Amino acid sequence: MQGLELKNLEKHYSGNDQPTIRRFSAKFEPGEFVVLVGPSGCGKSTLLRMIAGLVPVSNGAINLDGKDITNVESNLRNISMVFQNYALFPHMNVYENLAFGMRIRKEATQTIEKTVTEAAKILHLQDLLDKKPGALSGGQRQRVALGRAFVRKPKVILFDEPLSNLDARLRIEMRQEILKFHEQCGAISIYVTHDQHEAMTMADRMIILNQGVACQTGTPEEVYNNPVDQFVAGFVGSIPMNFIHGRGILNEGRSFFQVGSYKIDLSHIGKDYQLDWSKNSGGLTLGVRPEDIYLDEHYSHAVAPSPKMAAQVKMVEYLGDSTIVHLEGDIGSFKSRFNKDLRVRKSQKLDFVFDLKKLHLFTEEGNKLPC
Amino acid sequence: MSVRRLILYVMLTAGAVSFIYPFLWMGSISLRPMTEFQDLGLFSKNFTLANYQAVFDRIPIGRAFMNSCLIAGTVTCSVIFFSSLVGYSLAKLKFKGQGAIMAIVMISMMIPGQLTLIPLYQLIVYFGWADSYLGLIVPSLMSGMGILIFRQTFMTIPYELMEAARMEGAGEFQILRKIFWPLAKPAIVTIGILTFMGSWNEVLWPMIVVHEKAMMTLPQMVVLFTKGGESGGQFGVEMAANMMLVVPIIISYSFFQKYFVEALASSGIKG
Repeated sequence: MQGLELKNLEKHYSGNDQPTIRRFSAKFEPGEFVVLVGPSGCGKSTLLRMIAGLVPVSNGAINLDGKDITNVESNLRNISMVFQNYALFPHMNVYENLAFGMRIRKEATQTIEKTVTEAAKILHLQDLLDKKPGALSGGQRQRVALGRAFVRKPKVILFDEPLSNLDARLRIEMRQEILKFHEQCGAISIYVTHDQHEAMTMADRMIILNQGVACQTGTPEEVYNNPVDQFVAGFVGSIPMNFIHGRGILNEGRSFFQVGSYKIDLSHIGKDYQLDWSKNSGGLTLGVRPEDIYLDEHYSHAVAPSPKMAAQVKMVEYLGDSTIVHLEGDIGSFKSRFNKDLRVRKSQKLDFVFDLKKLHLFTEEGNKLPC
Repeated sequence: MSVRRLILYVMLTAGAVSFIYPFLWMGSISLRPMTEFQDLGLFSKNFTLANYQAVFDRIPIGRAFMNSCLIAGTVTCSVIFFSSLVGYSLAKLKFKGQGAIMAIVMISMMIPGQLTLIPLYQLIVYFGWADSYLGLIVPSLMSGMGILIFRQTFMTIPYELMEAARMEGAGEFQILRKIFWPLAKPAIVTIGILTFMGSWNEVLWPMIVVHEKAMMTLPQMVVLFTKGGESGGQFGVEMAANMMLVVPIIISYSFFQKYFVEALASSGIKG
């Protein structure tokens, strides 16, 4: 098989009860840009270092283009890595940083010069070749780090949170640069970040990791619209999904979600559950994204409205393109995202509805019920 | 200028002069005839190199100078090389017994050198290295202080630089040579100066293991010359010998002073 394949990878650190990475399997096609995303400490950087050969694998196998590279030295894997802090050698100028690997491999001076010049041209580093990393801006250092990965002509490029040291504006610029660079390289890019927004905007495919386990793999749209569990649902989305904790009840053969006096007929969500809620404690969590909450009578015909509920505005965050409203009602606290033109005031009491077609239901264990 | 600042400057100047004056006076006396040795001034109309000529005539100080250069140079290079290897492994590699090695290094720094003189001498005699360069050099090939300074310096260098170099195919020694040594220049200079000074000024150990004049080091020769009676009590000649002892140290220190202060400040170690 062409591409990179990870088979049941595991990593155990001595002294830790739980493995850092648990039976992780994935396939990466050539030219694909895959983002590994998860909260801090979920094992994503460890996984990246295992692929790079910097951390030994406890169990499982890594295949690149059909060859087992699990125990191959990191420099012989044809894999490059862009580090979080760029890892540029501070005592060498940009040219020497780019040429470092080729010098170690004792490549001919002419080849080094040609390759470095080519990389410098692609990444607009021609005027910076004599400068040392200390004299460069964050973005320029980032480009040098990309250049160092590029000159190896690798089959896989690993990015370990490369934008986390940049300010917000530069981060957006560098995202585009990295994607452009990825297209020029044609290699498999595996990009690690804890920023789900970055993941959503860059990925062809994203893998959500939690406690060393891959929770879900899919395109950003798939993951956003159909999260497999409550963790993914809560992690993906720049404003987290609202979770409303209630109970499932069966009444005259129909299933309902109930919190306090508020009740939603689950058959309206698109599936008649017919579940025997008495078998478990009946605990159920309703997930709704902030943009799927509407002011009563302000929703379009495309929306399938839930029964209305009253809530009071606790806080308003005006973002320019939209407004985030923090609400408190009988069902608990939740957030809604409204059109920028819709103005609400603090302490105002309003009626809301959910779009029933966009609701998600989770069991007490966080597993998603089919909708 | 405020009065406080003025007082401060006066005090600092007085301190500086009290430190530097004896040294300048020693240099001055070494260049003046015997008749002027009671003059506490620095200047004279009769400056002469006769005292230096006398030193060269009476003792093989040239040979002793070369011996000292060879021994201090070899010891300095070896301490830098071996201590950086140990410092690197203690700072950046993980292996069993790492803590024990570190403890041994620390303990070795706490034991006064005088305590090890006799066992060390017996060992040197056993190997047949008495009255040889090996006897003077081998016991000083490594230094606990050097290891400690290198370890502290290398610990501040991020692991990512090692990993980046490793992914490019660099081995451990290449990482040390191409990344860590250039980044640890202040530490290298500090250890270099401290080791060179220590080795250059060492008198006790050469006195014990060396008895042949041809093998003697410069300080050993100067001590024997000034205290052993060969100088004939001529103050100017003694000062000339002392000047020849200290000038190389002062020259090297003035060249590397910047790095020296920087490294001592960053490693938290007192000179």
